[in-house]
Amino acid sequence: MVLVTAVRDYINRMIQDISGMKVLILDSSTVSIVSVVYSQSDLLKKEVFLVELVDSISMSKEPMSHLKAVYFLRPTSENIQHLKRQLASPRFGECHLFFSNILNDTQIHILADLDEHEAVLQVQEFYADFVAGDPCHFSLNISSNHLYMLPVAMDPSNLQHYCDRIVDGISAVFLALKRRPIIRYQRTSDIAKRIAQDTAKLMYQQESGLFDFRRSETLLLVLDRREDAVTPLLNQWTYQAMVHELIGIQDNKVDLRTFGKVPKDQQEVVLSSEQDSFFKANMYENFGDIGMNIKRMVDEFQQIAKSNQKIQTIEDMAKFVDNYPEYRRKQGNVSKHVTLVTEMSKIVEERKLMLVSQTEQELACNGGQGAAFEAVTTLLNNENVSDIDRLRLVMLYALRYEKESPVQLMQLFNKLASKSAKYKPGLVQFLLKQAGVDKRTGDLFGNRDLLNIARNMARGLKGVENVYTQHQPLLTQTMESISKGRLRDIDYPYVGNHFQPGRPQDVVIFIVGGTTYEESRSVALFNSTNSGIRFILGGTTILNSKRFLKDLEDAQRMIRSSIMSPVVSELLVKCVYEPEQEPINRARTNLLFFIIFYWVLAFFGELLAGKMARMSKKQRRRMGMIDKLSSLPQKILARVLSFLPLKQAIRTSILSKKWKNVWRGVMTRWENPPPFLLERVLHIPSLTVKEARSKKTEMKQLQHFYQEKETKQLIII
Amino acid sequence: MASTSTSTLSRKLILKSSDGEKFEVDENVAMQSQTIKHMIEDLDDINSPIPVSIVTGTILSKVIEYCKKHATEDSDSDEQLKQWDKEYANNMDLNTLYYLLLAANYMEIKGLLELITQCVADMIKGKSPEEIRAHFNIKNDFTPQEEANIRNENPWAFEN
Repeated sequence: MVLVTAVRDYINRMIQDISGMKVLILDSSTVSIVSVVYSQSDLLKKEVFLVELVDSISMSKEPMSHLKAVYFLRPTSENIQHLKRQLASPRFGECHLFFSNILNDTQIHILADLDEHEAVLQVQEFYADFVAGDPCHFSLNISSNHLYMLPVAMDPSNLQHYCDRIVDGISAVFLALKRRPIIRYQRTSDIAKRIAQDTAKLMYQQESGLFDFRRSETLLLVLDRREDAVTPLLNQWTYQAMVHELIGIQDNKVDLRTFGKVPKDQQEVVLSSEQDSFFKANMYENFGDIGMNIKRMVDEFQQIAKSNQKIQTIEDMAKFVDNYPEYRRKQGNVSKHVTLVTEMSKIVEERKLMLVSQTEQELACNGGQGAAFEAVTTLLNNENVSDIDRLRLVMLYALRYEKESPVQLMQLFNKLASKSAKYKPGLVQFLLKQAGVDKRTGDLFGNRDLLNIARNMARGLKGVENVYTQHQPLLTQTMESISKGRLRDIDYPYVGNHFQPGRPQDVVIFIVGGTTYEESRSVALFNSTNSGIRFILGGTTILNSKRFLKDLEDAQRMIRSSIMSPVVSELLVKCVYEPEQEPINRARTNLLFFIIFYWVLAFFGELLAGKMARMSKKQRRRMGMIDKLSSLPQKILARVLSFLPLKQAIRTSILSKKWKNVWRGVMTRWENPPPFLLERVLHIPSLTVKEARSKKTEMKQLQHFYQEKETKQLIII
Repeated sequence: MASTSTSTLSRKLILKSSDGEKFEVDENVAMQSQTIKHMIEDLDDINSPIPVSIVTGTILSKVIEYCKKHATEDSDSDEQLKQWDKEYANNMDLNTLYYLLLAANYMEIKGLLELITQCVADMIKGKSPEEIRAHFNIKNDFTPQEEANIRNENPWAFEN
């Protein structure tokens, strides 16, 4: 059950069985899928002389009938359109069509109709619809990965698209592995549930014939990234994870162009465990050990180089020429790893990562809120610490001590805002809303059940080998529970009525929102020490902290900028809110709009029309008497209220239902929000309130507050 | 729209409103909008028009007027700028204020957002709930019982 082999087999079958010179035509997704398992030289060995992209190939018209075209595409409608154009005037001798996933009936019909020239010799489905970077780790490379954090109603069509792509990817994995799994999901996540259910529907209903494999020993577990937001925020110190964190890996390739003086053939280097034995041996090793191992490799290489200099006889010369390609390859490999490690040491030094990372690990693994607060504050004050590290420290602190002391948390927010110019206010709060303690099922910090507490204490007594790599992702715990058959049904329910009696043999864990290389490492290590059960890890993308923060920002921006879906708001802006129109004119436009609307609807089934009509009646009633102020997003209204005295802000709650809770969106930005404000007025329980404070002074403060002070400094969170 | 900015070194950007109207502005003027700033970062070709999808041309021109004034900060004192802001806001009718609010929020222009929210807040300030409803055409959709319940949540706020 190794993914890389499965994908290689598929591609072998594509290009081996077709003899002669070939051109391989790919789309932007399959290019990644192929490139991580097949190198350029491997392809050349199989007589593939040209690799082209399906959308760019149509530009040239030159016929090449001596080449046979091998298409490997995702079954999307755009690709079918490209094929349509290209098959209308075939440029190549033969066409072989391979699709990376299940074609639907319409697509098959279109394809059948297309082939006027009878150039297509075969059409097949080869289920390699995922990027298998490592033997037990795959990604779907989904670009708009922030969508999983949005509420369902916000952008339904894009979200549907996102879910469909995930279901496609997961089902391809199981088709490639020839298994039909039992499916479980994380109960607290709506998106995980939706994906689990859609996958089950596909595997057990729509395509049940295709999935008629052995089953019941295989498990698919769908998780949500937000269950463990800590792992993608940590600095990494093992080779593969560290390269991704500090430089970035895309489809097993590392782009070194930003570092200036890199030789031309080293501008983009490949880090693949399949093609590079040094990397395979060291990808999960510590940064310190890697330095030593690289030194050993350089020494060995120097030996070879020396022996090459002593060419005295013809025999030596012949030997040298024989070994020369190998020698060149080794040289390239040595300089690649040396460059990577040198650049990373520079970054570590520049950003003071040793210092930062130690605190990060403390935050993730050990207790002690007071000490943690001190440590984070000190680092925020340190001028050498970069903005992104500051942000991550505060986020880690907030995830860990969300409920302990709201006052200190708020102090950190303020400090962060004043120290980092780029910081977008509210981002940490947004993270808490998405991945805070109320949203999590599991025991992220290992302080809820006794066993974990005991284990943490034992670790504390034994001491840790390396302070920088003491963190273990939550996934390790989950894998342990699965292998012992102890994953709780309440937290991870089954889909449908397919249950698993014992412990599974093969497990695919899919994380919606993306995986990290730290987790991929845990999976690989777990597999190597436990026989009898194998894990495969997959996700929508492979995260480093930069990507995770970007997704978070994108999601926050989308939620902020509009509550309505873009289509609806566009329509409203155009049809209803046009400021220049006279009222009568506007009413007329509305009427016209609805008449046309109904008229079009009449063509669709009665049921649909009835449904829409009811809805639009409601809309029309609302539009009849427009109260524009109330139609503004709550966030803006709260901003308006923040300029009012508190008393008057609260009075707006009786304006109308829409206004009932607007004022609650107003929160203080003061260093120490008066506890009475939190508890008595905003009804937020605060621990500090319990600290003795006589009722009298409290009332006095309250009076003083709403009479004298304007809440001008209030902002919205 | 020709630029009046004194800086000649600055790059030009083209903003496109939802109804297709195009505006050429200096980069430092447009950069006051965080949203546009982020868009530019992701953009390869800065010569192509940047769509400001939910803002109409009329409103966008007002937004740009504000941004221009605040881009050339050295020419006016703080006091003059405040006066200008005040007049700018006072010249808008209610209708325009709503769209400016939506635009400032969408484009993430902090100063403008503050200015307009303050202006709307001033309209609410000192009015009774009934007066506010009348002024903004807000329909009271509470039953008397529901309204009483809300009053009871924070009774002190409704005392005079």
